[in-house]
Amino acid sequence: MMLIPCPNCGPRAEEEFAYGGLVRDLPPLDGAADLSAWHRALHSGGTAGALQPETWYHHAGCESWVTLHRNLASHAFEKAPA
Amino acid sequence: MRYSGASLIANALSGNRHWRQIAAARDPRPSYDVVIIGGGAHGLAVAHYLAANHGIKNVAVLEAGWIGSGNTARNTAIVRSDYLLEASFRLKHFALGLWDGLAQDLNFNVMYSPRGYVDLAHSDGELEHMTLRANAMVLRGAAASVLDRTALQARVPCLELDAPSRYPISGALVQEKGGIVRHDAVAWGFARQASRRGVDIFQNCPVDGFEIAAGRLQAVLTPNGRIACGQAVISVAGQSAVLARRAGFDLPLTPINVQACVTEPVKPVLDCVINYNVGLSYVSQTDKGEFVLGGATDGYASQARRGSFARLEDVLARAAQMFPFLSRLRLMRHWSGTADIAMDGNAIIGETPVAGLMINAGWGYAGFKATPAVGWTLAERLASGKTPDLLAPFALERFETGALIDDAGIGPYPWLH
Repeated sequence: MMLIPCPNCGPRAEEEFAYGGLVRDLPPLDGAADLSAWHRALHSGGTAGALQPETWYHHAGCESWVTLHRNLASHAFEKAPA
Repeated sequence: MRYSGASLIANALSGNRHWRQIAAARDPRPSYDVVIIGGGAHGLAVAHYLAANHGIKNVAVLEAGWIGSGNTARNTAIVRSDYLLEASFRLKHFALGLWDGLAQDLNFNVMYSPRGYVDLAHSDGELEHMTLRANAMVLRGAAASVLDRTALQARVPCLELDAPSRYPISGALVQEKGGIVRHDAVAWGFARQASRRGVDIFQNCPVDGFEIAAGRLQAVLTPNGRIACGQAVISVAGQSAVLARRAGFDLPLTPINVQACVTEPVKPVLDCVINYNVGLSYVSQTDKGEFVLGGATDGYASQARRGSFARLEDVLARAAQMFPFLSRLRLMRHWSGTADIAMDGNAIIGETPVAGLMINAGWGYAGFKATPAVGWTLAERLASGKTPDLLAPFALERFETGALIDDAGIGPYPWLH
């Protein structure tokens, strides 16, 4: 059971959220883009064991998508690395 | 020594002092033809078939914990091949054929029990999709049947069909060759035969890194030293992405937690494996009488091997919908494992960007059933240098080329699991 710190509503139970997955930085697909770079950006997993930036949708609360950093090994939400 | 009635009596009369260890401890050699990283059922099956089918015995299996301690021991032991897409079906159906004779082949009772796999449909549309799947299976030479509600009630008498429910049951797809296999015995059986043929199995031996020169694998680095090798296989389920990064490449996998649990034992009442399809809850009863229950993933990335109550409640609610009497049983054990899942929900088997280093990953929570087929085909790949037809569709480059094989047969959606 996770308590997810929604920046709008405060800590709420995980059942109130839908998972949006890893935040991916996709390069633009406008011809000039290197396809293999795009493939890596789209498919690669996160940095295992480390802090992962991810999106959550707070459907039972503020109904907004929020970006949070979570440690995959401990499920602890932490501050975004500077 | 072969296991037999005679060996049982002989060992009983000599006080059970002379049983041989399944995987005898040996000193590591400085180099091996093949190093298999991961002593789960998949890795041990590769080692066994390398030695048994191809005579390649200069093989080491490196296991970070003890053999069969990872997802091999955490799955719900279900085997089946009721897949729609050809690539998924063929590999798992080949495995089902191997499960059939595995106890004899390994001289180890793996307790394959083809008790039938019953996959429930909850709408006419879903039953239609299952009919499509059953027809595809029959056309490819497997046996499958689609049952309406009356036939389903006759097949599974204790299934609750009449109580009002949010997701009424409209029928089922049944594969009678599906069933369960004792998962620990599979790891031990493969390990014993591989070890008997000369394969070295090292437990408590994690892999820290790789020595790679000019894009080619030279050696595997462990706390016990460097092990030179011609080829190596990464077969470590939830740790795949971590290990791949140590070899310098990324895998398109997300680690996700999957839970299972088991009730106290009761008298036999359920003689098949049954799966509730809305949200997933798969149930079977062991020979000891315990109900084994499993469900979908927890739904978010995790390497904690610790489940969320939300999912467990979900799995149990669905199981109690099928079998209301389950609500009176207590849970004895509950556990989690890390599944590595790709966007199309299917496995990644074959070459990696590092020459000589193979990968067998991405099995998610669906890998146990494929164990002997993975062992057989990957051993063939390692021995011959050619990719067997059964494995070709599972290549890593399919993500780059777009040749995805969605596991559920409903389209290439990234939210499949």
